[in-house]
Amino acid sequence: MSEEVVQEQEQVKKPIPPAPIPTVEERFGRSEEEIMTDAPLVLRFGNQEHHVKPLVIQDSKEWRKKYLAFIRVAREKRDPDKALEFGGLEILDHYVTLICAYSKGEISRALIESTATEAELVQAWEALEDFVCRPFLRLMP
Amino acid sequence: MPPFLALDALSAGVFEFALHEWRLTPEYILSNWTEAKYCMMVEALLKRIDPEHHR
Repeated sequence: MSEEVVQEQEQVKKPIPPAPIPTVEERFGRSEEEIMTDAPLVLRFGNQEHHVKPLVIQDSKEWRKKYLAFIRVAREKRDPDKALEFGGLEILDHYVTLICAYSKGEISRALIESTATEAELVQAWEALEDFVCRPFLRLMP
Repeated sequence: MPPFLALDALSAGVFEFALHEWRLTPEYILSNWTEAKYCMMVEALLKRIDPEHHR
């Protein structure tokens, strides 16, 4: 029996080690202390910091429904003609709507539109999406 | 346990057990805790009662 075959057979016999348990930071994007103290998410508009408190379970559920509606709209607009208009124009409006909804009115549409640059808006959206959706998005195929 | 799985835990009876242990009402948890906090609390509870299976 060749060495390669023996090596292959040995590899087959070896039990597969269990997958490492992800840390709290890896799963939630936040430390245990931040979670237990409800540490706010910091968003920056017009070079000013705005602190957004994480939503409680019942409010988060409502916000997720709005988020999923946005994802559905985004999927419908994948057609090249629609995608340009959606990606270049409408998507930012959706970001503003969802950020305002998550902040429960603490951050207003007027504040964002009058102070934030587009880069700040996109950064804030990415931070919020990661903050809220990371734990379940990482499990999606 | 990621947040969306917290809903599975609700239906599996873990929620009722946790409420009994913590002596809290469902309304209190749903309107005062974040999903992440709920998951951490459930994990801590499961670790305490069954440390072998919830390391």
